[in-house]
Amino acid sequence: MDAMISRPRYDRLSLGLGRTHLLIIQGSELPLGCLASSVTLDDFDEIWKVVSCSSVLPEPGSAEKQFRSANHLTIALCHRLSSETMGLRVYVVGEESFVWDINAQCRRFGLGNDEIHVFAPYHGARRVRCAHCRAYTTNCQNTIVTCDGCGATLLVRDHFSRFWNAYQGFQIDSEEPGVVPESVAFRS
Amino acid sequence: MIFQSELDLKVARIDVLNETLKRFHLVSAGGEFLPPAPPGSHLTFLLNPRDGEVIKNSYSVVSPTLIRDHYEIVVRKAADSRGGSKFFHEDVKEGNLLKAKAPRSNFSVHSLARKSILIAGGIGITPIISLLDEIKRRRCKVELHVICGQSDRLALEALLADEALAGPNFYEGRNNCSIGKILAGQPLGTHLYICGPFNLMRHVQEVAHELGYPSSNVHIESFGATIGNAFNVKVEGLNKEISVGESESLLETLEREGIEAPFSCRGGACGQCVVRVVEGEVDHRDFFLSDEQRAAGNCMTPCVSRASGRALTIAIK
Ligand code: FES
Repeated sequence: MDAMISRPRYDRLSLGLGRTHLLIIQGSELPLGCLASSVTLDDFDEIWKVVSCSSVLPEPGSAEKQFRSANHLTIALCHRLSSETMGLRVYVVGEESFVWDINAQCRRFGLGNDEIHVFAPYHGARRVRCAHCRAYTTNCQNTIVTCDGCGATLLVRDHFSRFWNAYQGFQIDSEEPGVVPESVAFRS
Repeated sequence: MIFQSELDLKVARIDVLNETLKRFHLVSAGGEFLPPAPPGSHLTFLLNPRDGEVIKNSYSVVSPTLIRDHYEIVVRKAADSRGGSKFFHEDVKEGNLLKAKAPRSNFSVHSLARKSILIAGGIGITPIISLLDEIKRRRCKVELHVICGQSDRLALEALLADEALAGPNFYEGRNNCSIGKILAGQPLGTHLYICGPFNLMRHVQEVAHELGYPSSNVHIESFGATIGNAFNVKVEGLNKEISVGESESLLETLEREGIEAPFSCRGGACGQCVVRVVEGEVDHRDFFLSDEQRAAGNCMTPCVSRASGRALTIAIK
């Protein structure tokens, strides 16, 4: 499988030219090593965090906002992007599936490559899309997984699809029936 | 004729739009269909105003892409013409034959644009016209802003008459148009398309930059000729020193000397002609290189940029 590696590579976030810089963090703290050495948290105009906690309250007008869940943040982000104007830069830190989900939402509203920067410091676990039933199986740790949708045993290719925001999985012995390779843990 | 790189064209009709603007209808000299001219494309003519001298001038194709039986170009007679536009206005007659390179586009509509803002300065309207069809086909929101002199307004309005575009905004003179107002507050996914005089394009580029438009959303078409100080150029690998005159570009000088150099727009917009600078300071006049590339000083676009001093050493890739 090494021959087919096509996983995203992530550069530490550095500030591009822009009018407003919005940093989105999956978690309550920014993990170490996400920002380029010349950048600090003070450089961002707004910081939005997914804190996964039911007790957070909306803080209108504050530069730092907390959200109960990724969905909660995504709804607010879409609302914001629908009336946002040119000059916004969005930076996203979190798990691979989270950063690419946010990336996809931003693109839906017209942001391009130079306006969104993603960084996934922990991308060991993968989201896998079954090539047969198209269901997604999340938090996969090994090269062989059971599809949550159709129960097929899938071999996970080392290919990340930005379009589907997932790695592709296909029937394990589809090339040679009965031949099942060893299951290996993903390297991050 | 689709794969032919050089075309023999016959001037089928000339429309006089006003004192300085003429529209030329060009058909294939052999009567075949012409290669499609994609949106934003231009033709580079190999003109022969005087025996032995070849001038290469590029003009946008303003007829729609799907029309294959003729091309239309609009030529403005430049006051300081070094031959190209003067030749078109004074010497070219209906029935004459012209040579041109097949149409090429460096100014296409961005496929993900959600809104397009088109800004034209005077005759810079021509590449913009060639984008309108495509933008309308994509049903993308569009705004057109045209800055021109009073004397050109009627002719330019007439050129746009076929485009059925809601409210092109005309401004008579630069001072009546605030680029900042046009660009501020535009929705995400806005792309800018600009063609016009050097200072206008530079100004729009700077304002866009300040407002946070990424450079990939700013598209420029330029066919500008440059004049400036004369300077000498050594071409690495060739044992030759050539002199660039005040009224010619480095690219033209290289061509005159028989040195093959790539090009497309000849206006500092496409980057096809970039050469390496080995020694000497450059006066960059293009819209293609990034600020970092300019600061590094090791490349230049010879179609428009010149030496800041008296000498340069370059290497052609
Ligand atoms: S030919 Fe296009 S930049 Fe020089």
